[in-house]
Amino acid sequence: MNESLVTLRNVTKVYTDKKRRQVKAVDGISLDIYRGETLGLVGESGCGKSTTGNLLVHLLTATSGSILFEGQDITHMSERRFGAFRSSIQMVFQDPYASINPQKKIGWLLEEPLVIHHREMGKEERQHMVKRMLQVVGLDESYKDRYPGQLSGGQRQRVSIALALILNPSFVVADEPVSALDVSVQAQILNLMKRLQKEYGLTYLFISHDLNVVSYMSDRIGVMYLGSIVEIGSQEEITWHARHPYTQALFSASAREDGEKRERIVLKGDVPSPSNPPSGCPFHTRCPYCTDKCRQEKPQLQEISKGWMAACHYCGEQKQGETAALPYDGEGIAI
Amino acid sequence: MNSVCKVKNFSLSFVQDKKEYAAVRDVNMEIAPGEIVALIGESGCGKSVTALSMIGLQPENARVSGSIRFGDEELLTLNDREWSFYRGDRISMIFQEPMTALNPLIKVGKQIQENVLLHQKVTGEAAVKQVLEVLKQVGLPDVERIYQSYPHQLSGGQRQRIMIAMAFVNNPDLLIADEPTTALDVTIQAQIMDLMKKMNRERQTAVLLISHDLGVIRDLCSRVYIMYAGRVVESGPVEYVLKEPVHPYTRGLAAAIPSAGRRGRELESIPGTVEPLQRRSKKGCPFAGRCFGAQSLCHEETPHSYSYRGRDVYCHLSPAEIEKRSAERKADHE
Amino acid sequence: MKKYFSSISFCIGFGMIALMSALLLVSLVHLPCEPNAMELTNKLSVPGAAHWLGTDQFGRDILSRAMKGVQISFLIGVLVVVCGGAAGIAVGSFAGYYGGRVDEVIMKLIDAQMAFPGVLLALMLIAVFGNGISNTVLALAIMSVPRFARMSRSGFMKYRDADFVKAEKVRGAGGLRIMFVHILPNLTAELAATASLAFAGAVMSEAGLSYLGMGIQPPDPSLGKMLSEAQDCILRAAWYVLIPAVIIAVLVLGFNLLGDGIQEVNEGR
Repeated sequence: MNESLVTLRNVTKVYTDKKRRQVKAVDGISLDIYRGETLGLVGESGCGKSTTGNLLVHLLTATSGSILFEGQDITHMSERRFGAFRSSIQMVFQDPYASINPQKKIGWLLEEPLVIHHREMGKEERQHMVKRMLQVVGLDESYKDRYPGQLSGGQRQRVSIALALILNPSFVVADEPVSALDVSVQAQILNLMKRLQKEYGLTYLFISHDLNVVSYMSDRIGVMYLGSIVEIGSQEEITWHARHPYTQALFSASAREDGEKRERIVLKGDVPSPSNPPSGCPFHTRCPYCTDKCRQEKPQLQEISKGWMAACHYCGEQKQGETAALPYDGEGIAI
Repeated sequence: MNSVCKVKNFSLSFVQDKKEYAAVRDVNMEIAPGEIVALIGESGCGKSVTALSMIGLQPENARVSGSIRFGDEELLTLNDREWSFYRGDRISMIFQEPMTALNPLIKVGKQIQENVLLHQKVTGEAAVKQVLEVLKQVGLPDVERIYQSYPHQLSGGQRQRIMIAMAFVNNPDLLIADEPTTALDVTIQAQIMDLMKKMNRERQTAVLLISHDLGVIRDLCSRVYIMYAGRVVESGPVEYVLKEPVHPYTRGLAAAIPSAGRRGRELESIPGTVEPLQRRSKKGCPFAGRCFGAQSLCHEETPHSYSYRGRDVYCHLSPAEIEKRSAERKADHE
Repeated sequence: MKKYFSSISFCIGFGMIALMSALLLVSLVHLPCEPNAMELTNKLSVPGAAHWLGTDQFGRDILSRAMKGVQISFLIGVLVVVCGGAAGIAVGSFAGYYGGRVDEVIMKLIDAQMAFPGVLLALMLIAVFGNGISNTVLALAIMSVPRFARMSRSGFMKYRDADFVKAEKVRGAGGLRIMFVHILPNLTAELAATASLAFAGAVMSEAGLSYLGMGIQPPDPSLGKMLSEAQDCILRAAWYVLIPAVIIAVLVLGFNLLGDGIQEVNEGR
């Protein structure tokens, strides 16, 4: 389990926005994704989680830092050289309506990656793989002659998964794969993804803003805020025992197994704009325990226990259980 | 029950190419003064058009029947001029996307003030005072500055607060909130939900909350109506319906929600998808096609409701039978 | 396809072009007379059994010449749309898909060309390289390039960041494959509208050039040429002027309406 499949070291992605300001969408993040696990990445819009996903599949190129896949540096590889990695690194997109070309039949689309990457393969073999892949994702053969427009959202997302898996990848980035689906269909897709992970030994980076979905799917969870990872650890640690005040607030609303609720922590204020991030700790403007040190000094990730890290000056000092009793005044819904 | 709004046998169908497609059928619903009621269902279940009809904003090609009574007044027969007396005054609405509901070219304070002047006989100055007060009440800082801002200068959370302020400024009897937090970030959602609760308590406005977030509904609402493919399938107090659902659809819905506690277990999912409007059968139970307990009667006849432990269930099977079949199915599965 | 018939302009345009296409098809199978054969004894005869639409001042059968003219109009229209379209799409797709410098340079060139009056350009080309169908087509095709380039540029820009394009990149599809196998088919409707309008423009310009005595050379019949010849005897044979005029009008209007109709339905979606 502890073999790292994907490694990010100090990865930064800087955009230049319309007003020619430098915006750090991803600000020096480092993490390891281990073979066979699901790493969940959560955060609010603009926190850089999708950018991270796009960097991993080479839709974007990192400004600095390095990304290793199976030990090889893929950060600045040319598209041609990266081609060899395409079949190993795949992606499932959020919107099943926008992410499939409406003009092509499902069978044609499924065959295309094989045509690109497996030139030696004959027509018959390709057709065979297409049929098998459709079965794997729970669609019958006849779907290969249909157009995306004739499918429901859930069926389309099954097709998206088939498209990602037909090249037999080892690593799949799933960017909000169920956010556009209804609850009952969402469960089907999550079950499918779990089953496929077991069958094919897949490694997932599961990006979502839905904390329940992430807690259900992930072995480990990373929490992002304004381009940085503020806490990362096992699902258990993050969901139930979070040390970073932001993580605590995020997960305070999710239900315990017995249905009992924790005190919901309501954060004040808005997420600051990434183009004008606060000084010091990026979270200090909304943090209930903010001190002068937080305003001036950006905390680095520090280890709490093996594999569990948080970026807070005070995360070492808090004891468990203290978090629930945080001073939250019911009136404090101020901006 | 003394009610603000009473929906009785309400049906709505869309007319398209001279054919009628029933989107809502025989919905009965009641909202008491000051209570928060939830309306849950998946996309295409008819929850949004039902809510829109309660404020007279149903699409033009919709044909409605039945009755929606607001106090002593029948809403379905109102004309546009009569509606203007209710809309924005006694009944108001919040939408999912606040940006599309605000005029981008007018200062937000001005927009709220107009709403006051339209429905109350007060001077402009008095209206401004009311606006500033309501802005303060929805938790906006520096209300004078906010009053002078244009919608694009505000964040998503602030805009939704503006919408709430506008909805509450005339002290309506009923507020319809159509997925008011779906477009917002998690931490902002929590803020807005808190605010809705506070406004409901302080102004005693009844709220009909349309949502698919069961966590939010548990926190906020007292009663819930569950809709499936145009019909209500189960309704009752939140703590009963969501904790111990009876109707096979509600059971499926509750069991399909992922959570940390369900890790390692397969989620129960409802097979298939909601049938699109054009392909729905006119007779029978709307859920029959996906139900684990469906029998031939379910495809033929629409079930009537029965009461069971404080809730109404629309099903041909008794709770005991549902329980039995559900257990059988689980056993089959394993 | 069916949805387009909900547009009135599309229906009218479609009808007009169907009529013209029928005329074209008949002309390919059978012409009543040899269009360039002169019957010097039978000049400017009125429409009758021998010559359904009469004869011109050289005693040539007007119907046959008009039908031949329609053939040439269609030929030129098709060639212009194909050549201008291919060049325009090629240029516009790269500009739209890659953006940045490539886009800037290409669009500057296109703007420069658009700033130059089209007919003047055509006249110049023909004056330099000489008359004839191929030079006319070349001139008109160059004139129609900006139209196609602009349309495909905006279309490719729209789809450049679409999710399905990203998905294709992740699956390893190269730039050319994404552009021409994936994006282009999504622009079929817009292309059809542009092609239809360009076709109308080409027919119109060709008629104009021939009328001025450039382009198609006598004795080959061309609708524009017929119009200018008929003008000389407008007082003695009014119907003669009407025939090429009506045919040009129907062709141009028909394709314009068709293109408008397609645009209307696309934008209404």
